[in-house]
Amino acid sequence: MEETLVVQDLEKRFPVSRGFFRKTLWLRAVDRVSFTIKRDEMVGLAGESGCGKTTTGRTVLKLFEPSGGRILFQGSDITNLKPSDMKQYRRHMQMVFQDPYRSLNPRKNVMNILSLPINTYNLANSRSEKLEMIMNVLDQVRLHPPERYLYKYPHELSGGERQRVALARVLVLSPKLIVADEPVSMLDALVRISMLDLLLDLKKKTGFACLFITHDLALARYTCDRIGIMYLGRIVEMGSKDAVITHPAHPYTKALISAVPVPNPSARKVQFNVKGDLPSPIDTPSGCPFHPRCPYADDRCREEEQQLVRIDADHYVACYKHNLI
Amino acid sequence: MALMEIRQLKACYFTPEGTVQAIDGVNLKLEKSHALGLVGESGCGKTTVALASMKLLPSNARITGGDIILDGENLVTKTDKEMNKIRWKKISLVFQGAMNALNPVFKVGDQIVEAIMTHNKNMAKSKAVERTRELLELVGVDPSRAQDYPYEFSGGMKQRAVIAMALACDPDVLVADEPTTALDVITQSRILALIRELQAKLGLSLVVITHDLSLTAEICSEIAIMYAGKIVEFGKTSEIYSEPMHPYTNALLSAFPSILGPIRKMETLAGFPPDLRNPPSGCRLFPRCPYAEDRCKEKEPDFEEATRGHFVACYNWGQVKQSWKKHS
Amino acid sequence: MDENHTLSRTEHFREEVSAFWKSYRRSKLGLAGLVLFVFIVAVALAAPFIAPYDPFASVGPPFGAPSMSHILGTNDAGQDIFSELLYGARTSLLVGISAALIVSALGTMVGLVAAYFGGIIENTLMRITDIFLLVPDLPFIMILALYLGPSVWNIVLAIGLLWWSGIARVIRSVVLTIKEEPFIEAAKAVGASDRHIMLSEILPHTIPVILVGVIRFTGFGVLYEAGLSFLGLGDPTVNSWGTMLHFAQADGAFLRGMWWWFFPPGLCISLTIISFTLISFSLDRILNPKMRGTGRAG
Repeated sequence: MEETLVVQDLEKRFPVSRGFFRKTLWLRAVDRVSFTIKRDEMVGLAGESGCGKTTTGRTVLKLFEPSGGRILFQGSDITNLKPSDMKQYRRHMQMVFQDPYRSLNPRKNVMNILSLPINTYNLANSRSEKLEMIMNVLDQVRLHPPERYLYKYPHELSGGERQRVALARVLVLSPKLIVADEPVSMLDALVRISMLDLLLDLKKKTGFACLFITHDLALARYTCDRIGIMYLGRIVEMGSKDAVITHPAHPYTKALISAVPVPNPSARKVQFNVKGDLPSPIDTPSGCPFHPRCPYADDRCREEEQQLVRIDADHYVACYKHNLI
Repeated sequence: MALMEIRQLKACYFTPEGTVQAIDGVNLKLEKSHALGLVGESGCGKTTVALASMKLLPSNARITGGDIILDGENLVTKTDKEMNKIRWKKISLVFQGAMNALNPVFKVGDQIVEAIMTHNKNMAKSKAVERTRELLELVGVDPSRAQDYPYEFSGGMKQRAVIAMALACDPDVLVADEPTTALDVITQSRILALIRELQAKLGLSLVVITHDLSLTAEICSEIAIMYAGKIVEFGKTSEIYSEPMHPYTNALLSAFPSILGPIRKMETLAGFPPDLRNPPSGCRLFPRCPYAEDRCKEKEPDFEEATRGHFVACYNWGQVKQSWKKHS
Repeated sequence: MDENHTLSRTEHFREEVSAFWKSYRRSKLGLAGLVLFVFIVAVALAAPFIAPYDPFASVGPPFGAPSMSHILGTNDAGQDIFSELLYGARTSLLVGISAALIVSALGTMVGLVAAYFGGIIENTLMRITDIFLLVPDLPFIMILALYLGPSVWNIVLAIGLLWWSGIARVIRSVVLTIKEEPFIEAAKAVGASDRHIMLSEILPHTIPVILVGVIRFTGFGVLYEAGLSFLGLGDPTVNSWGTMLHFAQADGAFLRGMWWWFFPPGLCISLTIISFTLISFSLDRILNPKMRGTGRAG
């Protein structure tokens, strides 16, 4: 199976109630998003807050029910599967959450936390087998020696250690797809890098596809093979990291990249300013969602919705003016 | 002469689990109209330095040694009453998460007016209102928005409002603790641009506290690297990035991937910072340092001037400097 | 992070218990409540050994005043009041704790299920809860006790049927908060069943609240048992502080000034409630700091 995950025109809408007598508005958190992740590939979804990357990650795993579109996991269409039918797939599609301080149950020790996936899918036939699996996975995530961590509670662990436990919880299932939602944004600088290196290392060793959600473009560039830039629920640019970061084609991508601070005081950055603030995702602008802020916007941009078009081997952009800029 | 100088500052917190030596000999120098970056990971004590500089430490904390010299006066020996004349007027603080601390039930403008009048007991309200308009314009917020409530402001606007509040009495020094942490990338770059603008317009001197080394490259003229309650390196920004002399600075620089330039393999140090309830006698980086020797464990290296204007606390700074040059 | 010492499960537990005791010790009122509690429970348990007589046996003259052989005198049937008092503790406490347990079990189940599933299940359960909340306590319990007949267990049932609604509300709000925590979402992502999440991930977080509730309601249970028995709705064949007061009143102890008959049971009831309330108050402060808005989860 070449493609672990295929997402086609995925939609997720949330109703926004405006009181008893007013019409309900819809928040289009994910607005016809399409992408694929090949086996062993790391695809990044990057963007600012409210762009829909987190919701996309959850919808892909059916933690939210999609409002439209299709999700194909290893060739099977899981879009409309009921929660009870999802169990066999869920084992192979897992998530690592952003907050290491809250994604582990504070009343459970490491042993309990790691027992949950094993028990849920009956992966061990005996207590000793379960213990062995747990020790193995603790070793994999470099928590040495494993025995020392078995009965520790989350509050006795550092942020980095907690995140490793969260990763172990997922790895014990040998998933084919891991969605990592800002897995290192709440960790300190040095810890961050060791965590990312661990993730990349494990991906190489055990083999899984990964959807890496982040707001940090520099980090996405370091970790991912391909990157998608999201804005107000849509992917506005997608391609290999080289294409997107070094040769951005969409005005928003350019604005984002020029805004990222560089750890080098003598670096010369290309300035690309846009006006205005992120609009509310409830009332998205017509046509191209970026047009109110785009310095190149014209009538066509206001009226016509832009689709992703291919401009190079692995480079897609949703802007008809890409080669005019 | 430096506008503000912190010499061998020490402070501790009293907790049920023991006394934490949060900062243990901090040395900093801030020149007029310069921006000093104070960089370190969480728990290194940088926020304690910020609070101590304003004598705003919580009740379970105490300054236990050292001096804070601002414009010739030593703040450490001042009483609370004397500090009230200095806080907000000579030195001001935008503390971490301030933008979320705006009171949701009062209009933004009213909150700024209140801040102004609290620190200028004899000012007429109309003057304060006028000053609020001035301040909002200064930070790039449309003055008519003073009538709005915090929830109607975007993240970036809230941060600007909070900066406006801190500038109400025209302080000489502004301390900003993680000023852009919760903001989006584009908003962040705008706030950084605002800070640069304010520096130019008002001749403002800044201390920017952050964990983000990419940020400090954008706005700071000097940088101090902090680890486990101590300053381990201090120097001009360009030198810190091109010729770091402390192994920890080295490690930090290696931990921030760049959006430009070649993709370098990032490196890191294993282990964690020491428990500050019981700090070790030797160098605090010892267990994690790739350049460590026996003498590092026995006696802590002094914080000394290695090259002109560039201070470091490491016996092997020459080696570190050499290897970084090779690395990049 | 303690690098050099691996704590086993029992050591962890012991550490937690000693840390808890350290916090609890700091509250003088809590300690006072605890001392009282231990004393009352000890007395109740030791009743068969320390009571001088069988409380149901006629061992002295009727309406006897306190004397060497009968410290608190005798009642209208010549039974030793002191022995009655000691044995009465057992019944009163038993009713109190049984009622508290039923209230907690029922209330927790309803609150947990309602909060977890939300939607129509929550609405239905909460409306039922509201109805029970609106019904006035004492009249309802009285009527129920009257209807069900004079029996200790009917009193327990009556109390249980009414008070569960208060707990249901509290547990519901606690669960609603816990439900939003990332670790619950993480459990769902792993694939855990609803049953597992409710019982194994969420319920443990409600135990501090439940524990405090059980203790507090035991105290009230004792009070209500006394009240109902006093009004004659209790079981006359059983000996409790409430029935003692009932008979005291019915046989004119108040008119005769026989304070040694009605004052001791009344005092015991008061002390019991005070003790349980003090304990639950101190426990609440330690176990549920979040509820008081000081941050950190329990």
